[in-house]
Amino acid sequence: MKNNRPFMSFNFKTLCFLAIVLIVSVLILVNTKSSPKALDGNASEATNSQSTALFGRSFQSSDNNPMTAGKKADPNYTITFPKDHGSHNDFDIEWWYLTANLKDEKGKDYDLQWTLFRFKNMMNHEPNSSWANEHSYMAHASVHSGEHHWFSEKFARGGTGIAAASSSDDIKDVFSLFIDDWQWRNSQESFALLPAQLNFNVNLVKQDVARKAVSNEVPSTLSLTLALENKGPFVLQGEQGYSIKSGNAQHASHYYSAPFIEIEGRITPVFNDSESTRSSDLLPMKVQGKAWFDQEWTSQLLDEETLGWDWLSLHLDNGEKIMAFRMRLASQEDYITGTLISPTGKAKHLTPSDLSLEPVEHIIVGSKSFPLVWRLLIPDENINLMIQAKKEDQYNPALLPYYEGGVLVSGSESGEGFLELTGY
Amino acid sequence: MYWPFLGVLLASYRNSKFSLLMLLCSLIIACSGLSAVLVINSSAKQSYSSNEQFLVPNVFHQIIPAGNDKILTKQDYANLRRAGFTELIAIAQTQQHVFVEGKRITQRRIEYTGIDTYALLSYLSVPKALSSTSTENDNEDSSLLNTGNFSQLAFSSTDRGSVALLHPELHQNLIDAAKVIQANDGEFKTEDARILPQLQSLENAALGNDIIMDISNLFALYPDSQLSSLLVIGELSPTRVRRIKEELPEHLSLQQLNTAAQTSELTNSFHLNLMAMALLMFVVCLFIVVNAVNLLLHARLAWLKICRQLGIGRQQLFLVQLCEVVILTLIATIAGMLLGIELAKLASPTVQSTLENLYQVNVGFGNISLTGLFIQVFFISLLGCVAASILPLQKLNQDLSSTKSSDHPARQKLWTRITWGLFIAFSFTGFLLLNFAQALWMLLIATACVILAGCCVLLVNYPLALKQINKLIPSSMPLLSMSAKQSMALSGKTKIACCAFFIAATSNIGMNLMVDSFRGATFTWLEQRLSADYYIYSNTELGINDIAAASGVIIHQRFDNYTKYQGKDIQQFSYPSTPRYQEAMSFYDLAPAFQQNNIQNLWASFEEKNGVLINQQFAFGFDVGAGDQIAIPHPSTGQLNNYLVLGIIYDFGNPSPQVLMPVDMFDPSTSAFFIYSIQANPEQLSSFKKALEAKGLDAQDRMISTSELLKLSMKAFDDTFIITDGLNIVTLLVAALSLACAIVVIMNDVRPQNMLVRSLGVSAFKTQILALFQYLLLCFVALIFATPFGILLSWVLIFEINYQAFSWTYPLLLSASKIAKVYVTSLCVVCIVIAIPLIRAGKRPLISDIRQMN
Repeated sequence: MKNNRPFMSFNFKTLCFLAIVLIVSVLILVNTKSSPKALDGNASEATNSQSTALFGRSFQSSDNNPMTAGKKADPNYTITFPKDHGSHNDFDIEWWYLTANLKDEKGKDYDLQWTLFRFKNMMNHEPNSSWANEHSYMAHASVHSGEHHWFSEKFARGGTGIAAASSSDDIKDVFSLFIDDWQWRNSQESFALLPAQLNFNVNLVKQDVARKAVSNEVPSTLSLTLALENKGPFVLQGEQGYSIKSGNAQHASHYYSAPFIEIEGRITPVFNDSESTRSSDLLPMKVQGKAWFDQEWTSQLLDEETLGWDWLSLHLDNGEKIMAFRMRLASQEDYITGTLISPTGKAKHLTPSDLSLEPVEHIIVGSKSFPLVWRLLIPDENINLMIQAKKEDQYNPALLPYYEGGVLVSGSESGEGFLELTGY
Repeated sequence: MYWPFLGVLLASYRNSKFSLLMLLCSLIIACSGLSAVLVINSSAKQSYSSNEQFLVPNVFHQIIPAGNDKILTKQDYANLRRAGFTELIAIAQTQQHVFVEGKRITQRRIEYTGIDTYALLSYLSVPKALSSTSTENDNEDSSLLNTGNFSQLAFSSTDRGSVALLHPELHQNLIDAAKVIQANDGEFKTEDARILPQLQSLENAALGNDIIMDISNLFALYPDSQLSSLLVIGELSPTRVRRIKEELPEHLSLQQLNTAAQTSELTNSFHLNLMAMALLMFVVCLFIVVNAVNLLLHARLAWLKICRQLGIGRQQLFLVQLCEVVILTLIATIAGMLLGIELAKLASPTVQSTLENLYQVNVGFGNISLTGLFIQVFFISLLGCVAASILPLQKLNQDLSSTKSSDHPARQKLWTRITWGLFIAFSFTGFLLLNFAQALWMLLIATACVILAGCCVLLVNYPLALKQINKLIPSSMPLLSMSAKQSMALSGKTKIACCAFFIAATSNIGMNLMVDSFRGATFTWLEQRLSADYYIYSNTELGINDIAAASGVIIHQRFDNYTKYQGKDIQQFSYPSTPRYQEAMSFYDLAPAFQQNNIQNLWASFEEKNGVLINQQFAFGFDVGAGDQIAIPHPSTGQLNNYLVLGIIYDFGNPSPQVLMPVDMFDPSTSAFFIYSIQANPEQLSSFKKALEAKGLDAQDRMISTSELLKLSMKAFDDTFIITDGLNIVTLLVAALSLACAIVVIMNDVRPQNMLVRSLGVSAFKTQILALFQYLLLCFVALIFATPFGILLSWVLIFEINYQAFSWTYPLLLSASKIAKVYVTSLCVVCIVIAIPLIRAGKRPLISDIRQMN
């Protein structure tokens, strides 16, 4: 017994040790086996690649399949209204795009954007299905106040009655663009872009890019009802509406603008049932201001060469309007183009030699660096402008996220406008 | 102070290998059973919870057609979305088979689900947007729905075509099935040879027997599909509910998803059954633990006494022994869990198909958190073990402090009274529950009450019964008489082990009688219902009616149609009303007008399409009786009509509520048909077969004779009950092990008597036989007591639990041979198990018993 004791004690210790090792090993094994598969990473990769495919397919210049290749922009095409406000279904992509700088009765700024995209489907897929036609639609809308950001995104397929854009074949009908309950509709019941009524709503972005939660005191949704009236002529961008986007002219679109739109309307805050329902909060805010409308259609804009673009629309206080655009391409120099529009609507096309558009300062928003301060020079017109984003956080958390928001203009002239940055 | 004692403890294992083995074995069996059931239940439930949400998280309402004759259209969907109800997502579902090279490769239909992924993306793609209907705690990661998956479905790229998602296991099953038929192209197609989208595996518990795709793909594959529902994402405020209801057109209705809860309630009954069986096994295992710990302590009693004399405190002794129990439980849990997972893998195909057949739910392929499982099993086992160890430790405490027996006549009397009191309490509770309980879990408690009441009866009457048996043994057989008397003494010491055996035997008799009755009822019913000579199964129109007519063969096509009654799926099935088929029908109940030899009028009414026949599942599920009117759509026109329920029929094994209607009410172009029944004499049959072969149809391959079909059906039946049989045997084995443990302890107590018998010249072999007789006598008496309670249990299972869980019942068949079989099996199992300690005791030399006396 005496001799056995240390031996037995050692055995027990060993047993305890082995038991602990066994438990730890099992737990490690268990955790390794039961940890969820890293689907998120894959999913986000898949999202990006698929979404890129969504935008990229139609514009691949290598796609020579006559069944799927969209119609190319034609330099000899003459844009005519109201026909060309309608949808150009032979082209792969098209958008109707409104940006506005508004003020409420207290002088508080509201910058808003509303866009409806039409995509010709990637492969005309499922032609036999009653649930698909060759077009898909996507829409984005955002509203910025000085402190907050509301944004929403919608997708719908054509042929379902959920989304559509009037086409030139519908010229006897009322012009309308819609997706779900977002609608642009001619307010004189005719086939004309303007005057129009625009209705949409946007949801509060719960967290800003710095991941700060937004208070429940802020309306969760804004519902907008806007009356749009055109106070000037339509402006054809580029050469009579044929807008070249790259040095080798491989990228081009049909593009016109309506830069003289005046807006009046109201923004109605909506709170969740559980949140504040103070009667004063629910009163609609009257807003008014200037807006800029673009319509553009093409099959040669996005391909593997395209890195992204920077776009500016400016309303100067002297009544002039400027559109400036920089296309960033993989194996070519950036292509800068623009249009200077006089207060009467007379447009001057600006080629790369006519203007200079340079980022002055990059600012980190979230995890990405964006050029949020720009210098725009048009030497022949003695225009030297400094353009700065009204606030840093104007990042739209869409399926394909991008930066878009109001800007302030200073320098040789003052004014305000909109800045869009994609591909960052 | 602890270490020396631990040393002693470990050293004692040398002398108590058997009890240690028993303890570990019983714990491992208990843990593996529990783990297997937990794994099966958990993985099945994961898929239900997803089903409950219709694959989409946060769905509590849906919009559906307001009646059977109403249709939900794409225009309705568009109108509602344009009216601002953008939380609506269109869903279309259809159950179809998968084909490769024109051959069906799926045994059961796959649920094709088409989702308007564009609408879903609109809802999901702004992750930080605060929508008026979203909730803070959306857990998108755990659901099928995340933006990545659905953007994949919505925007498939050019070179790969459209994509559909399915679980890797289902994907593998399809690939394997395609290999079996040696397909060349391997492309999965529909029955109409439309190519399925490219199948892509997605590991997700929400996916079961489903293929998920974009709605446009579904309508391309099945252009005649209809929208099933519009899911409403997010919790709806009362204002929002009011607004939706105001805006809904008359033919649509907003429905709270309580049907999902009902499905869950149904499947819960199955899980409860499974869990109850596992817990029964677990409890029986704990009986072994009690006995094994008792045995272990008994073996080391002498050592423990020495330890006490050496000054080791009683508290320390108990603490260390409890630690020992914890460590042993831990080892057993790990081993049992690994074994259980393997068992679950083996059993899961059977369980899956049972669940899917019984409840028509899709069972997914869940992921199990092993940590969670380990924690559950370990703590349940630990709790059980510690509880089971208390009794032996208490006994040890008594043994260490005193050597006097606590058996006193007054105490015995009190014990008897308490037991009778318990019997009355259990019986009363069981009676109340059986008569008034609605929920299945309460009926299971009633079942437990029946068994426990039986235990009480056994405990009180055991000595009396043995006394009566003893009287039957002639005095010319002194050894046998002595052995029987010893049994009486033993019965007092093996109460717990005998109770375990009684529980196992009662469950065994109950389950066996139930399964036997079910089997008998099914066989009789099948034999009656399979009235044709041959059957041909086919998924497509074979165009053989003309051939049959030419050969003089009587052929009937059988159609089926799926429709809804009171919002639930029902099956409409054609039934020929020829005299042969009339005879084949087996009724549970008839409408009052046809009850007294008026069956011909019933069939006349059936042929005139005034009335229909419904199965028990329909009658019990919708609370419809024979003679009631039901409004169901016409199988071909879809027009809603009222029909008289002419009778209720037996329809064993069918999970669906079914309505039988005349054949000519079905339109071959709209109804699915899968079976031709054939009546023919051998000459006609031979000519028919030739004609079939001339048409390029392999008669040998396609035709199944009634006897073969009966054989196949009964095989399927028997396969379904393999798990039940397995659990029965395991429970019995465990009970026998428990008894064996008790015997080893008793062996030591009866050494003086044995020594005396052997010193009188009785051989060791004879004493062993006598010992075996004693234990078998105990078991036999327990079996006698278990028989009435087993019969009662089978009655509860058939008329209460089966009715509640499956909506059908069948007559209870009392088969003496089946009960005798249980007797023989039980006694054999006991014989085998207790033979081990008996042989060990027999090998012991007489001198060792004499030494023990001293």
